[in-house]
Amino acid sequence: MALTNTPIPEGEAGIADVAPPSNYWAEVSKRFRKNKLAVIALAFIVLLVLLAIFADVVCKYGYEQINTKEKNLPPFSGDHWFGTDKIGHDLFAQIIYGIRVSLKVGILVSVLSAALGLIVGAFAGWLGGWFDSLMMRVVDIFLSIPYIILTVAFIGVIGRGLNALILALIITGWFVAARVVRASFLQLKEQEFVQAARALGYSNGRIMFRHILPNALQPLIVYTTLGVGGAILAEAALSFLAIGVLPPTPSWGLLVSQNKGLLTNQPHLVFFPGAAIFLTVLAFVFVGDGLRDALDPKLRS
Amino acid sequence: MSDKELLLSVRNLAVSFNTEAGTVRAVNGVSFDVRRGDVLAIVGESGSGKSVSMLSLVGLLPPKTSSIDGGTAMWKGTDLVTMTPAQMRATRAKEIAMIFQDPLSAMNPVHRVGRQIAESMRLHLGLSKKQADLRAIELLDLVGIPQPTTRAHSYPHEFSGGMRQRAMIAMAIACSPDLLIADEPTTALDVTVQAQVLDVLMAMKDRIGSAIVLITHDLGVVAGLADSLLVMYAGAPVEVGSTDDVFYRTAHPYTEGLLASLPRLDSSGDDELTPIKGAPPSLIRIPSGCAFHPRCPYATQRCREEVPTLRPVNALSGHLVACHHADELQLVGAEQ
Repeated sequence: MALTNTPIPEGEAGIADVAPPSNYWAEVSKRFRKNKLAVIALAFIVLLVLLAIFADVVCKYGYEQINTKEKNLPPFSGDHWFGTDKIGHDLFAQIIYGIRVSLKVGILVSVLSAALGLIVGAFAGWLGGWFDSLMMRVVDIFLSIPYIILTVAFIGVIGRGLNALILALIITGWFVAARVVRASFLQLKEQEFVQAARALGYSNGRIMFRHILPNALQPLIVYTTLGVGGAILAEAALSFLAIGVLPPTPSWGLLVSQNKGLLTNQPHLVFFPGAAIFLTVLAFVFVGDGLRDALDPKLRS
Repeated sequence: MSDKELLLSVRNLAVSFNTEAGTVRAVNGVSFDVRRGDVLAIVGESGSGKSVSMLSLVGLLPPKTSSIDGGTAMWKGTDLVTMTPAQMRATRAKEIAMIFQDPLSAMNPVHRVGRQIAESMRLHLGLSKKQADLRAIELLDLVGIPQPTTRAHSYPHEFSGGMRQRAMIAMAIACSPDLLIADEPTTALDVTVQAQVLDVLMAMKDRIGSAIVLITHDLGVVAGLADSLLVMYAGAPVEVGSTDDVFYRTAHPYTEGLLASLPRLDSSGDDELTPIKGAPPSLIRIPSGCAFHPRCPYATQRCREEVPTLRPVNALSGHLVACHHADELQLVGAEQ
């Protein structure tokens, strides 16, 4: 067959068909920006990050500073925008410095537990067999114990404090991520492009991490974003129960706990830290929802 | 024909799957040779074992449920059947490459097309990222994709079906393999694009000097392209020979049935297409004797009892058939 000199036909649709290649992340960003609530929430989170970084500049008072002359002040009294408590702590400073604790816990816990869940879920989904069964039974068992009890047990073993709390929340937080990733891997490993990658002589590791993993990341990114809010909430709850961070670490949950007796006379002492928790968690949930819609492969044309 | 280098020589290949319903004997004793530059078409209905036999050779069947029960497949002197996974990985892409039926699902949706083509060259040929990217653009140009530099940055879903299959061909030929296995490469494409893609495939074959095994159920596709034909039924070969022999000197009733079910350009329009009666048999319980006998209009008692073996119709041309009555029957092949 002498086809060597046969001209190869041009693409059937011709040049007019050639659209400029799209940048995936530019498209995601475009779709995300259409969701006003998510954009506002993201702006709020950026503001929180800036406040956390520049807390020393923003606050006139330190969070540990006791000022007995200016105790029990209502909100908006002079420089004490959120008022002061019974020994003269500036509530505004306590809340701003509290952002550092909340964000540190939220981000470290959700990212590290997602990473741990990713590794376990990827191998369980890819390998299947006894490893998969073993890991999923472990997940089932841990998921059937309330996380608070589990966390209290871990803290009982490793001690209290911020880092202990973070570690405990990671250990109790990777199960769901592992399930999410495993489900993606189970579905993706049957896809034809995985067989095509095998046909190209790629190793298992390359197929797992360079071909399947990027396809499995979308649900994990959404889960991780939502997980930040969950971790902040968990820290607040545990600190409220006095098994979280230790005073004087500025923690919103601790503030609510310390001031809860004053709810009737000075509700602002509970309201401001409560509102900080509520708004921050809500912001991460909105951003997570926005990301889910923006990343959804079904919307990709 | 025989002066060309013998690349692949398969003898009595048998593959089975273990299912809950029983053992599925998907391939029973397939033999064929592929020489450099040749196009061998494996033809048959769905479930005739044509894809399975090729996938088993490159180790792409699920290892837990399938097994190669026998036979040899000598690839340049090494038996593919007994190769270690590492040897097999090295052989894939570099020496034997696959082109899949549905290029959209066979390409990774999250990677750019250019990168997907470049990846195997970086891995197997040791090219740098830049060299591989440039080579990927060259390959896209070669398979007829307009504006290849721009298009290399596109994602698979931004390509049309025909362009995707061209990109798949580019990916398959990237490492200049000696054998291309094309598994129904045009089935997922519009009819108008099929011929173009096949032209590209043949042009690339000549350019890199490889051979092609074309798996298809479409005899129309085969007619102009294949040098030789292997017709399979129920996991076993029923007729083997040059395309001319099988088309014009048809020796097996099944092949006759396949040809009769094809529309022809010269038909008046009143002629009805003749389907083959019945359905392909379950590969768990293959009929006794000749597997085709329940559907064969010429079947006799002997066909029900005795399994026919491949025997020469014409010793000179290598035309083989597995039919007890091949000598007596006057079958109608394709019209000249």
